Amino acid sequence: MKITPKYSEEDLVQLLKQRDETAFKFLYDNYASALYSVILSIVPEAETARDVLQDCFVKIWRMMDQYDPSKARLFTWMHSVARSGAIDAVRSKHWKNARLNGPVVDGQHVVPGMAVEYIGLRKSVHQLKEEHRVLVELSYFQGYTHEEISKQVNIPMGTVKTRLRAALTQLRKMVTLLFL
Amino acid sequence: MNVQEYIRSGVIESYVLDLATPEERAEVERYRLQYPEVEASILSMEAALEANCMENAVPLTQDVWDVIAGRLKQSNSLPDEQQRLKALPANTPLRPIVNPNWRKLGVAAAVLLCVSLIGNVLLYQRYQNIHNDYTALVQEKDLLLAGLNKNRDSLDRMYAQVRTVAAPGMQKIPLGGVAGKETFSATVYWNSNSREVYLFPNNLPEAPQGRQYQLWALVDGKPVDAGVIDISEGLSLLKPILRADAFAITLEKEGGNNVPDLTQLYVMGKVSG
Repeated sequence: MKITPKYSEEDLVQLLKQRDETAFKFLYDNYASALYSVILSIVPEAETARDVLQDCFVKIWRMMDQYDPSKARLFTWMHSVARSGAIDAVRSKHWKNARLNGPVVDGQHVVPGMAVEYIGLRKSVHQLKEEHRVLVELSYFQGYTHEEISKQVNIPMGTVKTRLRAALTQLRKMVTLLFL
Repeated sequence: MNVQEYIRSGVIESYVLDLATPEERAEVERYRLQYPEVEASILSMEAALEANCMENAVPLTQDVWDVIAGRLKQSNSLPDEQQRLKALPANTPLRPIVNPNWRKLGVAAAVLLCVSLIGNVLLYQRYQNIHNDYTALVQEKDLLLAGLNKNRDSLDRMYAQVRTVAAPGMQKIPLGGVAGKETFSATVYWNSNSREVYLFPNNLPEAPQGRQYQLWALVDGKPVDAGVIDISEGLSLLKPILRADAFAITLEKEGGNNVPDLTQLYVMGKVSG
């Protein structure tokens, strides 16, 4: 799904910062389903994922002033907003479940009785070797810091960092091979 | 630093996917300005991420956008707008996106406030004017009332005097000016039954400072003191006199004398019959 941009990225950012509603609708029309896949890869439940997506676009609209084009491209920034929103939703849900059913075992978001469907980046991530996959799972999909991961999987911080970097390099190769 | 090794380390991917530690982020941001290869690698990773997400895009229904559009309309609130204005660069022309209804309301409120303020000032001025007028009227009324009381008092006094001179047994003795003082005159009203003596100064000059007129009754050629006279009083009651052949007025020292100074005789009159 390649889009023919109606605006250059620079113009689009300029208009969004001026809160141009037409530009914002364009942004939604072109990127919402892409961001939805990012959210769905973290929040498997469609209804919650749609809520997260809606929150995500409201946040983008409101936080446009804080977006700095010299730090990241517009899509990269929106991807971070979507990903962190999805992780927050999962965490608040886990917290609620934890109060009702006791601690939830960390792992993939597999709905019992349903076939595992790999969405978004997961399509590539599940092909990584186990020691890499775990780190990407915990950091990218579950949002844990290097320090937290180090404690959880019981390996030194330095090793977490280098192993995660290696995993991401692998992932980039897969992604680039597939789409570029 | 070996730039190629740095690029291959995976730190760029970590940076783009927002998984880098704050220290790593700072480092990448420093190097991307310094090394074009780092910048190029970041841009290519960003492009790969976008392409991957686009490829995996999951379609959405129309109602998802409707909810967002509704929430944007709602969130067009003032604090949000102020934040936006603060964040804008100084030279950016401000584009008013305040809900026009709020703007109209604001203008209307400001106009109403101005009208109200002007109204208050005018009303206060009117109040001050009326208050001043009222104070003046109260003072005028007090003056009039005082004048009225004074007039009523003098009327009462006059009426009392008329009753006095009209009383039965009252004898009227006109006193005429002596030689050289012919224009002066006074009248004694003497009731021989009650012995009361009243004097009315018809035409007597003002007594000089420190001096006073004194009435004398002449009994068998001898002067008897009948009291000092205050000519401003009009008809005044003097000392009771049992017998008199004539009455005379002299100018004496204040408080009167035992013996009249005949060089200062002004008026005199005989009792008739």
